[in-house]
Amino acid sequence: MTPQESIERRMAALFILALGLIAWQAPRTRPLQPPAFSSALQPGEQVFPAAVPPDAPLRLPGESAARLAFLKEHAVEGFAPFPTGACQGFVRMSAHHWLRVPVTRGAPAASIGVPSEVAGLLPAGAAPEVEVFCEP
Amino acid sequence: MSWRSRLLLSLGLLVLAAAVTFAVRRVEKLRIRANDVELLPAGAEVLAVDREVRDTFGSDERVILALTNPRREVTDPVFLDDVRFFGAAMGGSPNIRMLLFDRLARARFAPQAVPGEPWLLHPPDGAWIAAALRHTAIRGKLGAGRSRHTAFLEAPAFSGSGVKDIEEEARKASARLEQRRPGEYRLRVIGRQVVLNGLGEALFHDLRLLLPWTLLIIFLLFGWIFRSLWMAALALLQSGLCVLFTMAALQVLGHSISITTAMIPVLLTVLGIADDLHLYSEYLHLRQQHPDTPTFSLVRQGVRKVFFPCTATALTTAIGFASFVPTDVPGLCVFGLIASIGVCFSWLLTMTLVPVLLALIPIRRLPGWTRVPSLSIHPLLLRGAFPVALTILLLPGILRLRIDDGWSQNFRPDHPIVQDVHWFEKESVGVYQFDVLLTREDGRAWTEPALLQSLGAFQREVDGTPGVTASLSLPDLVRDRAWELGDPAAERPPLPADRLAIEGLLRTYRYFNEDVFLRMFLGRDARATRLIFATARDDYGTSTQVRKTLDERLRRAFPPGAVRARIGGSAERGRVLIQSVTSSQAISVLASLVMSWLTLGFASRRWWTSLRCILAIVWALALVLGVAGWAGIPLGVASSCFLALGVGIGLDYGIHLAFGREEDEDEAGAVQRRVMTNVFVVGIGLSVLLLSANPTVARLGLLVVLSMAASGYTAIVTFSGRLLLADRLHRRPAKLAEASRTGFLKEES
Repeated sequence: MTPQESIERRMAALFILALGLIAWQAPRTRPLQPPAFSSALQPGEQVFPAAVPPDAPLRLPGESAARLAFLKEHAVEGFAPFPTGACQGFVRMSAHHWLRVPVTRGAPAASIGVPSEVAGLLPAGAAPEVEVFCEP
Repeated sequence: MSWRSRLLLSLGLLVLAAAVTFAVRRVEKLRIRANDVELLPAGAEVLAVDREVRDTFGSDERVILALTNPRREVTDPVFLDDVRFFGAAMGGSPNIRMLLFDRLARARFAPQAVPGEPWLLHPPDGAWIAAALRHTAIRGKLGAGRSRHTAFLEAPAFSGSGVKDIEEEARKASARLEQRRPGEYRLRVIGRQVVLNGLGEALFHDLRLLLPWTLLIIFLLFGWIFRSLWMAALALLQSGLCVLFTMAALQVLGHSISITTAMIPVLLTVLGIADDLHLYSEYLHLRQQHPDTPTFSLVRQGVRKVFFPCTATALTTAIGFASFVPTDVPGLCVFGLIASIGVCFSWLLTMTLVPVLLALIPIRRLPGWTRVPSLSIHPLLLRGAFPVALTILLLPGILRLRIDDGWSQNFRPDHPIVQDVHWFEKESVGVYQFDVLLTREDGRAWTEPALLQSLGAFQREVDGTPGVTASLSLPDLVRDRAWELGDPAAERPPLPADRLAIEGLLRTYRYFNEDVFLRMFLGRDARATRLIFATARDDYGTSTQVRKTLDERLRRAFPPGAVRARIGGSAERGRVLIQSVTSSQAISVLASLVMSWLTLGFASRRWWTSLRCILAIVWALALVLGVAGWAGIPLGVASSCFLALGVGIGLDYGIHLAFGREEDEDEAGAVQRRVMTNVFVVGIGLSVLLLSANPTVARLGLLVVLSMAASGYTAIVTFSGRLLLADRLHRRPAKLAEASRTGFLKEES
């Protein structure tokens, strides 16, 4: 083998080695996945849609179970904990959403646990639209 | 040709046809995706901060839909009605309907009872909105433009393709609004992802424009140099197949056309033909000397002659590209890997398909230069004072080099996306922001009045920094809500001194169905808060300056211990990625130089000659860096790539000159001619990048072309200046042919 042939063989060997390394590396260079969208909100903290409400105020269904389901779907959760056996009160905040609050069973309507921040905002003498549902 | 050869050739062509069919199908499935995250080191702190910001405050990557009416202000009832109409039209798409935000016209607290509406929140009128824009921070900065003629709607930017869908829906809604109020509104869709999508499209557009030009130029140059359209077509076929197979590999490996990989086709097209050029020249030179020898024998001989230098150059070019693979920047890793695969494809085609087809090409008349295969360069340019003077003159330019880049600099200045981004910087908070994440480590809550005050004071200090255009923070939310619940004619009240009052105000965000706004600034346990600082521009200089100021102010306002301060956001990502890409270049260049030296030295056992090849390319790159410094060309994400490309491509010239098989000086003259032709063809081919509408790609093209010229020059000065003297011009063709024939016969024996 001439010196030139030996050089060429070494170069060919190196090239094959490089090919092997590239082939080994190729499947290990994984496609980058962009970070997924994440929400810091938990269920009940935000009612959607937030910006494209229907033209007219929402109308509640007549039947009680459907009415409760509809209200739950369109209500944000208050911060007060729900005691066992408490009824669910829904205070209407806007044409398109309600606030769900705990209501003591058998309590008069006036004592519905509207948060103080909300109660303090109500115009004098005004009563908010409220729905109460108690489990039998 | 024997029947066996014919059979082998037919089989080979069949395999090739199958491979082409497979590759075409794969390439058709390629997607374009541009994302800045791919250019950030996987371990970058900014990514960890951004992850924490997303987990704590939710993703806030948004698309801004800006509706401008030059004739009406946003407080005009018609304008407000049109914004609602536009929102409802956008809401035709269920996903967008759920997630679209409107900070301007959403229902507000009204202190007076509204007849027939027994609830607290009602659509605001123009007078209330005007007061809110004057007195509140969030609404004033995000709800409407400073001119008060633009309303902003926001949609979350889930992904690049999602943003494209939103943009399409917005254009449709805008068309409906146009029917309603002809000529009144202009829609702008703005966002970081819009810029990245636009960049991806611009690069793809570039690719479609530049690739045919590159192919045409190569065809013309090859046709002119070799006086054969068949040979030119063969070069095109080789380049085309190389690009096709490489892009198919990109798809098979699951990658997309991205900011980095978009350049690969043009680079490979030009690089692919460099080896062809050497092979063609050698083949024609042999045909000139041995007109009666069968073409297959000649072509085999040609391949053997160029095998070592071509393999060495392919290997060092692949090493140059592959040196990006160990870097921590995913986009560069993919670029390095795919480009090195492409170089291997190119070598494979040059050593297999091209020789076979070359032997079949009918050649009626050989070009004249095959008889006198050397070119002259004036000795003054190669010896003595000139190279030294050139070096002394250019090298100080390196001291003037600066790093500068920014996403909007990647478009031509009059591009609509750039204009929209600049408009948004003036009209609102801008697209790019720093997120300052402050986490209390002493167990206290940011809702404590003194701590909230300290946040406000820090925000005011940073607000005065040049480069910062706007800021938003938790104190803004508290004060805005306090104003909304009070007298609309009054100024925004100061922060309450009572923690219960602060927390009460913040709770109203949930009650008013705006918890999403609060979550953007306050962690669930109230121990983490985020301040947003928008920057005037997205360039490296501005971001670096603002980051420096933020660090100083943070150290002063929140001494370590009680508060952990971290910085993320799109502006910080831009700053870090420019820094990391440019520093990755330095590492990969050093790595590829060392690897190339070891490879050449090991294969040839001529360590000193190999080192001279390396020194020649280092010299060439230093000259180009000097030119860039003197010319004021900044180094950025794309432009700094020329260093690694320069090593990969420019090293070839030194290798051919140092390791080309020189049986005598005439053979060496042929090698030099090929090298100079190579510099010329590759330089012209790559100069197509100068036509790019993307200024950064054009700048990269310029630097690469300069690198080619410089590396060709330094290689010739280093290795063979002695052979290019004018006094060797008058070589007699007969003597040359005789000497070469002797060499050839030696080879045959």
